[in-house]
Amino acid sequence: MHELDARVAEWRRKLASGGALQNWQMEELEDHVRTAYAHALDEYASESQAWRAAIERTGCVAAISAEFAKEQVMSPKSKLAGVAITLGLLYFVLSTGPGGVARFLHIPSMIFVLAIVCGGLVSSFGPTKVRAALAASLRGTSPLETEQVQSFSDVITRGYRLAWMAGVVGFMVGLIQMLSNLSDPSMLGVGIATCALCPLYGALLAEVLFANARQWLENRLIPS
Amino acid sequence: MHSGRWDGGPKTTIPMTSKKLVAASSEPLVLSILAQGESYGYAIIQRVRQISQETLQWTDGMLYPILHRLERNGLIAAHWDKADTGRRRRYYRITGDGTKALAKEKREWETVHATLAQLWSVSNA
Repeated sequence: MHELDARVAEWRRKLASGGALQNWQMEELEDHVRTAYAHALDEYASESQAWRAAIERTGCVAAISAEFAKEQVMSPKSKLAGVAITLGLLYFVLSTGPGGVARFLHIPSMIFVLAIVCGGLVSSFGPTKVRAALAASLRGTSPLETEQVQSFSDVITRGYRLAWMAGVVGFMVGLIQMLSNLSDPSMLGVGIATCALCPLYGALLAEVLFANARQWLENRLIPS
Repeated sequence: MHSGRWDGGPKTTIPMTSKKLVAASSEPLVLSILAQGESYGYAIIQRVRQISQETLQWTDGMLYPILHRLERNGLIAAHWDKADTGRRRRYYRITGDGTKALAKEKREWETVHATLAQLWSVSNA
């Protein structure tokens, strides 16, 4: 029996090194291998033959790991956790700087970036498809076919580009507004700082929302 | 590389069903077996082998990701219990949603089967 335990432990160690299985999944598989072994003992003369039959029947470690890795999906909660960590740390860093978080809030710039992104998406794909793509990438967990991923990811990729573009355009618009009214040079510094907020919002929207959304979609792709 | 088959036992000459078809039928198979009552991984595989007379064979380990997917989608539910071996074992049972999904699958397979059967009976005549 000790020999069996050692074999099982060795097999489980290999399985764990693949990193695709959680502990409870390995426990379940261990129960399977042990059951298969017990049955194989009736068929084979030696214990080592029975063990070999049991693990052969269960499947090679690499194939099992690959199969489990395909099924690893992120829950909406864990997505939210990742984004919350990013935004939370950002908030913390910004709030410790001079002027606090309030310096980074500029409602017109936010509306400007959002208007370009939402408007661009809706005019390219129509509101129904945009909503479906966002809902699928943020909330969904079921595996997706290549064509589904492709069609949703078109929307998300366009959103990603629009967000960056909105930031750059916002910066230029702000700069034009400011330079066309230089009567009060003391406002220059604040003006440029405000201009720089649009690229910041664009970058955050692109990288925190759209880049993640695209990755979440790809994570759910069924490998062919 | 694994072949998606089990050949741990005595060699057999029974032709085995193609990998694609086995993959497509795995979910309805699991649901159908669980519709007959609670079961666990090893027993489910034994049951598939026995009913299909060894022509439908998975590599055993491949069943578990399928079970976990069905569980995640709410078609089956699972709980740990102590097996007669003394170890913990994970038992699965079908849920209401699973029963509905199975009924739908059944209609689809029956449609395909009926269509093919009709075509073949004509060509055989």
